[in-house]
Order: sequence, then structure tokens, then C-alpha cells
Amino acid sequence: VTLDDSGRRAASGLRRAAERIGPVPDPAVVRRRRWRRALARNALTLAATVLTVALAWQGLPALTRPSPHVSLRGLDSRVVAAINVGERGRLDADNVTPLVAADAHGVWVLDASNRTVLAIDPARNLVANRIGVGLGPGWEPKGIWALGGAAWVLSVSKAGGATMQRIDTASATVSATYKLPGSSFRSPPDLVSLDGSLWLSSDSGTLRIDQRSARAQALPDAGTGKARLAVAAGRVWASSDLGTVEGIDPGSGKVVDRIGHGPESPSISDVAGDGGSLWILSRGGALKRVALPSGQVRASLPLGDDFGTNPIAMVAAGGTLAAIGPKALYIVDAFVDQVRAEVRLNAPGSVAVGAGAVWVADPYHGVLLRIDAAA
Amino acid sequence: VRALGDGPRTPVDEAPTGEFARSPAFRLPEPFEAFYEREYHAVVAYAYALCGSWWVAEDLAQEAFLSAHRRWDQVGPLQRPGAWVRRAVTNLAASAVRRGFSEARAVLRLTSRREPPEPLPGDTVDFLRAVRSLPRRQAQAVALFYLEDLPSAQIAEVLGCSDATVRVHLHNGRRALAKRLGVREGPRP
Repeated sequence: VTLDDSGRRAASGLRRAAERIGPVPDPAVVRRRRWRRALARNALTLAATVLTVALAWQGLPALTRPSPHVSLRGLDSRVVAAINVGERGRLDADNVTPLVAADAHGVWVLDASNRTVLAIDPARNLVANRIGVGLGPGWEPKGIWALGGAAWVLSVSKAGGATMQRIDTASATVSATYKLPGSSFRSPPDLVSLDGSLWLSSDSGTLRIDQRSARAQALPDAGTGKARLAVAAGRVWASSDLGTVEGIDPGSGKVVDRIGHGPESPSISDVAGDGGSLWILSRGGALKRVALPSGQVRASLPLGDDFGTNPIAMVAAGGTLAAIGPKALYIVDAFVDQVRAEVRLNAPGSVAVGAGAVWVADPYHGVLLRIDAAA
Repeated sequence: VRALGDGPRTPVDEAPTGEFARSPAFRLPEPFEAFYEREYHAVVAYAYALCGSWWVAEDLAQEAFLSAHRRWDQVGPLQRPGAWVRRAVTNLAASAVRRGFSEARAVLRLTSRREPPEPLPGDTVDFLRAVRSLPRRQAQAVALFYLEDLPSAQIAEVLGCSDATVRVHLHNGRRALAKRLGVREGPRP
């Protein structure tokens, strides 16, 4: 047997088999079949393309989005979580303060450059929601506070307008907007709540905003110039440049008390109220608790060298007082007038107490630090 | 038949290129229908020799005939339109080896398959399997030589290469084939 014999036999067998596959198919049927197949192929290609684009659309932002958590390496051991809140590695904090607010249920961070409030889930230490607070060109957010079960954002316009937005924490939406009389906010504003009204400090005096009527009233005689506000003993307390703290009657809006702070430390950095006591933080890091309405100093706590000479902010809630300086956070037990913890930090910019922790926004690194309040 | 080729464009529209022998000027082109009827089974057999699947072979042959029908005003006047169709099948089979089997298998599940009523004889299966195991160009030349019974000049026309190249492919292919089948090579063609 040669190869040619095998080839001839194979050719013969193959031709017979080909004849047996059936009659020559009707070209019209072939054409229709090919048409359907081409349509199916094109549909599959289109579906695959759409699916790929959809996956890329969903996946790319996740790839470019920074990690929600930041390494705790190099941070004080009492920092239990570091949450990434700055999209470009930092928060725009120029003339914006406070940047973080907290109450018993939630924590909010103001991302001023994106005109967004980030709702933090304190149970997971993650950004749970993003709420837009932009009011249009020319408007800039100036600060955020958590009062009365809501978050409040103050925005000012270059034309001199000011607006307060109420964010409903349950629905994570802006539920009310209050237009304020034209005011200047070159100094960091402060906001407190008492008797159904919001009290807002401005360069030209304190504004009282009735939440029910949405009316805002200027109180030019109370808390002028770099005033910090606190609520204690049923009154609103406003610090002044002169080293005094004025007590404002919430009913009349008039100054009814004035506490002299002493000539040795005239400049007040911040005030905070907790129950019947008023805490006064002065330049140089001197922290005092004064009784109300007498104004007697009940406790004096010199904060450490790490605190620096220029305190930044102080907040008090639920018997915990937190004060930040350029390099440190101090947590004070307000019940026993004792410093509970000193936490070294890199660049704190804003502090809040709530949801079982002390929260410090580091705008330079774009992170929100969670410090155990019982540290 | 008139509707043939009106469908969407397919990869087979990448028509064979190269020189094909032209008919003398006085020759009228054969009607496509007659050409299709006469050549269909032979082209399917050639495609089967290259790919080893009746379903894919029919698919390739139909693609090639559709393409020829679209260009019948150019293909019909050729001296051997069958060479044009076989070159289209050769090209399609080469690309089908690379990409077409997965598609064929998928469609196979949805389409009624027409298999030959009786299986191929065992020695035919062995021969074709050995042909397909050759390098692609050798397999094409050997398949055209044995199954289509074409001389080397016409094989060169189908494959688009020179006669000498076809002879080299045939020489190497036959030698390898004889070794694999365990038979004598026989006299040189």
C-alpha cells in the first residue's frame, strides 16, 4: 500500500460522505440563517461592549478613589481610627472652621472645596453619605455644627449674603434654609442652640435665628469681634477681645452678665459650656472652669507644652471636654476637673465630641481621627 | 438565489486576493446557481479535510459561496471560479482554526446537525487526521492534491503561491504523511 493508494481511497470516501450530508441547501435559507447569526453576533458584541463600559464606569472610580482608611502608623496609640475624608489628600480649610461636628448619633465633616458634607458612620468609621450644600457660584461654606439633632452649615457669599442650611440627619438631605441678614464673617463664626433659637457669632455681633419663624435678628451689643459662644446655666455666653465673657439673656437678647477673666490672660481663645459651668480657654493654654453666674474660678488646668501657645478650639459634651492646639489634643474630665489624656497630633484643625468619641479633623492630611473619649 | 448575499457583511468579505486565470473574452460566465449546485459538495469535502467537522465545513463552504455570489460579476468570468471559492475556504479554515471552533460549538447546540448517515471509513479518518496534523500550508497542498485531484499549478492558483513552492510543500507533506501513516510514499507526482 502506498501513500497515493491511501489518498485515493480517502478522497473517494470523503466525496461519498459529502454527498450524503444532504441536498445543496437553499441559498435563501442560508442567507436568512447567516443574517440571524450576524444579528446575534452583533447583539452579543453590543451587549459585551455595554457590559464592559458599565463595569469600567463602576470600577474606575473605585480604583481611583482613595482608600477609606488611613494607616495608623506613626499616630498616637489612642487614635483608634483614621478616616480618609480629603479627596486630594487634604481638606480645604482656609477660613473654614469648624470642619467637624458631632452629636450623640452622628459625625459630619465639611468638605468646603467640594461644597459637600460627609456623613460619617461612627459604627464602621466610614463615610456613609455625601450631602451637597453648594448654593451656587460665589457661595462658600464657612463651618459646620451639630445641634438639636441636626447638622447646620453656614455659607457666605462674596456679595455679603449668609445662609444657614439645616441637614436632616435621618434623611441626609438639606431640610431647611435660613437666609441671614448681611453679616461679615472674617473671624471664624460660632453657633450654639438655646430655647429654640440658633445663636451665631459674626464680626458685627451675634445673630439670633428663630427656628420656628425662620427670622434672624441681629444683636449688635452682644459678642462683637471674634466672639466664641457657649451655652451654660440657661444663657448664651459670648467671649470678647477684651478678655471678658458676656452673658446674653435668651429672652431679651440683652447682655445681662459680664465675667472678667483677669488681666493676666486677657485674650480668650474659646469658651465651652457644660451644665452649670463655663470653661474658658485662653492663649498660652490656660484652661479655667468658672462658676455661674458668680464668675468665680473653680478650677484651673494649665495644659502641657505640647499644646502650644495658640489654642485652636475647644468643645464640651456629656462631661467630656476636648481642646486642641497646634500639636496636641487634651481630653478633660469635666466632672472631676482633671486632664484625662494628652494626645499628640500632627496638624489638628477642628475638634468635636460625640458618638462616644472625640473627633479631630486634620485638614492638612485630609483625615478625620477618632480618639477614644475614655482614653 | 437572487436574494443570496443580501445579508450583513461577514468576515468572508475579505475576499481572496491575487491573480486568478481569466476566461477567454468570448466565454460567458456560468450562472451562479449551476456553479453552486455542481461545486457545493466538493467544496464541503475540501473544507472537512481542513477542519475535521461537517458542521464547520458546511459553514465555511456557505460563507465562501455567499462571498462568491456577491462578486459573481468578477468571480464568474474567471477560468476556474472553483479555485476562487477554494481559496476563500482555505483562508476561512485557517482563521476558523484560530477563532471559529468555539463559535461553531456554541451554535452547534442550537442548530440541527446534519451528519453523514454513515461514519467515514477508518482508513479515511486516519488519513484525514494525518493530513490535518501537518503544518497548515502542507496540509492545504496535500488536501488539494489528493482530495481535489488538482495538479500543482492549480494548487498554486488556489493557495496563491508559486508552483515551485507548492511542489516543496507537497514533497515535505507527503513524506511526513507517509511516515505518520506507516506506508510507502510512492512515486513522485
